[in-house]
Amino acid sequence: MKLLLVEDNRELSSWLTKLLIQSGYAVEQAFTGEEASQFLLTQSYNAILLDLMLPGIKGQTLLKQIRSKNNDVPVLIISAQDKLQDIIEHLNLGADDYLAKPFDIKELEARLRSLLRRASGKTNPVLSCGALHYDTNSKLFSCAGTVLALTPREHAVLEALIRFPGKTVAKKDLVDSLFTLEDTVSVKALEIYIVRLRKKIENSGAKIITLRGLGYMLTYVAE
Amino acid sequence: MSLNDLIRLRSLKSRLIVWVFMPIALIVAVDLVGTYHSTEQIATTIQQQLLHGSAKMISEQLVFSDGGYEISVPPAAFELFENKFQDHVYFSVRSKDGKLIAGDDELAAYEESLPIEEERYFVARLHGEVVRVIVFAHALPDSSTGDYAITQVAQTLLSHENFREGLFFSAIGRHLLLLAITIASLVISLKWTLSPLKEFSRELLQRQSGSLEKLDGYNAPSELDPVIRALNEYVERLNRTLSSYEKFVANTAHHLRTSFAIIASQINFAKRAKVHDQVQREVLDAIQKTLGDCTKVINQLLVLASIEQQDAASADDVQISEIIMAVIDEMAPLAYQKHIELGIDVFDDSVRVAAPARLLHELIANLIDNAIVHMGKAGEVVISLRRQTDHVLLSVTDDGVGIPPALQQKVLERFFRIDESRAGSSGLGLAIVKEICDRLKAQLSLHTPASGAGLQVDIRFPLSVKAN
Repeated sequence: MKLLLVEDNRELSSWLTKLLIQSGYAVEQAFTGEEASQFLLTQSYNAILLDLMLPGIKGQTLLKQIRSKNNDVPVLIISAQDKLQDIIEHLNLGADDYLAKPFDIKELEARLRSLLRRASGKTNPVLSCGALHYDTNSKLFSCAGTVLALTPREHAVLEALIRFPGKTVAKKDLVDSLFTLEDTVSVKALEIYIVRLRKKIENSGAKIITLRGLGYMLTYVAE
Repeated sequence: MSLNDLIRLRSLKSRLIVWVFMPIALIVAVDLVGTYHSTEQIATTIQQQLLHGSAKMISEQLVFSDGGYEISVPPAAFELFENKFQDHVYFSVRSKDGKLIAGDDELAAYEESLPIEEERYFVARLHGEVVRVIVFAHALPDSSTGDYAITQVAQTLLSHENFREGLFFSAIGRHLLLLAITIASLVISLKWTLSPLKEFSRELLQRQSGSLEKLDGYNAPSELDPVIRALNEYVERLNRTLSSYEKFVANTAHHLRTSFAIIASQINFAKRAKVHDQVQREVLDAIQKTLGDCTKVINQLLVLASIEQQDAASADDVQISEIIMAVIDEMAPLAYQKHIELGIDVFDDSVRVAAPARLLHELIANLIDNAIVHMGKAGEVVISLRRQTDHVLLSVTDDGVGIPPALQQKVLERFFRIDESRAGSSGLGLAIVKEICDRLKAQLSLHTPASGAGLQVDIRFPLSVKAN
């Protein structure tokens, strides 16, 4: 995978490059808009990481240039501007994602992976949260390589949760996911499944959080 | 207007009143002094003419008979004086050597020489009353010796004074009317002339506090043009200052965020390296955590800097429950880490609030973050949202250590922290909440919840006009 990193701050650029190379990417560094423009004339990339505040040609102009040439290379904007209107404006101009500085490299790489996956046309059959993975083809949950043994009801609840990681899923929706398995589903029963699930995924970094009055959320919580 | 202002003539009104009213009052006063003198003169002249007529009538009746003088005083000589004031009238006729021919002896003989057919007037006292007296020398009829008689007529001053007072009071009445008309027209004209000024200041007051639009003075009086010009110039200068301030904030933000991004990459790189002992790992984790805290403070400061710039006029009509749900999603992992159960209580998800969505998001995020960070122990943070008669009430209640009532206002100040050592607290969270509330004209109140422990923060938003 070949990336173009357009970032005028040489220090940030060099550290990001080191990290990305470590993760197995080939990285080309451009420090100005003009340089990036030159590279784009002769090279092709799998994705572009684009800073907005550049000397000379601005990131926004570069983005417009790329899209006007019908180049649909995925563009991930990394910017110190975090205003909602900036984000919306650039997504409208054709950016694929937007990440505000400072960011964690794990988040950058996660978003990059998702961009590359979408660009390759393959929808990843694996849903993840921390070290907990769910293969939608084989319908198997795994944690750090070990397949989890789940009852059909636990499986149904966890599947409903992992489809929206980091989002609150209403109790009612979870009860509905169980409805095909048993005729009368009580909230009490749901709470029991949640308790059991928590135990089974406790080493994955993924946690099931109770939000009183709302429902449950599966999310990654740093220790 | 205070007395002090009046003395220093701070107000245009008092200046105008003083400089128009005072000269008129002075003229009126001077004129009244002159009028007093002329009414005295007129009244005296009239009394003198009556005295003169009466004296002439009496002296003409003097006849010489039987070697002496005789006189029969005609009633008409006294009827002249008849009026409602009942003045006393006295007369005497004396020969040139002072012998009384007729009349009152009390009227003393006139001592000085007096040419024939001439009169003198003077004021004297008679029977304890002040009288005006005429002395008239009259050549005796049938006298070849140049003999003459001296007639005196005296009248008390009652009618004279009444007449003079009548004249003077009517003059005072006219002058007062003139003054009253002047004051009335001054007040009316001032009100009318100064009304554009009032209108102008009202328009100024109604402007949005952040409005940097220029004033247009198309319907203001031309005298206000310099004021409007000066204000517009000031607005322009303010605009330039503000935009350079905004640029400064933006540049600072960019610089800090980029630097933090570098440090974050360096830490990430170091953590990925294979060789680590326990101490190094701990240090790296600590640095990463500190970096997170710094980022939070920087972001909070930037929010504070941008609250004023937020155009409240661009308020969206937002469904506040959606923003609360988004914030709960964001905060859930932090709450989990701190063993705090996050949840909702009464929750009317149909209510709408007119406010910029970004400001509302910052407000709610800081509110919930503050509750989680300051719990000090495991517990719960409960959010409720309800519509009341004339506002939307958002409450965030925790069962943590709470805030002593004495400090509940203090914690709204920037950088105020009850416990300086508490991690993850910048002392900015509630300050942001307060400032956003002020901006949105929402009421913020802190109190201890009904359960007796913890803190309840209530925010009352005005109802959105469009919806609800």
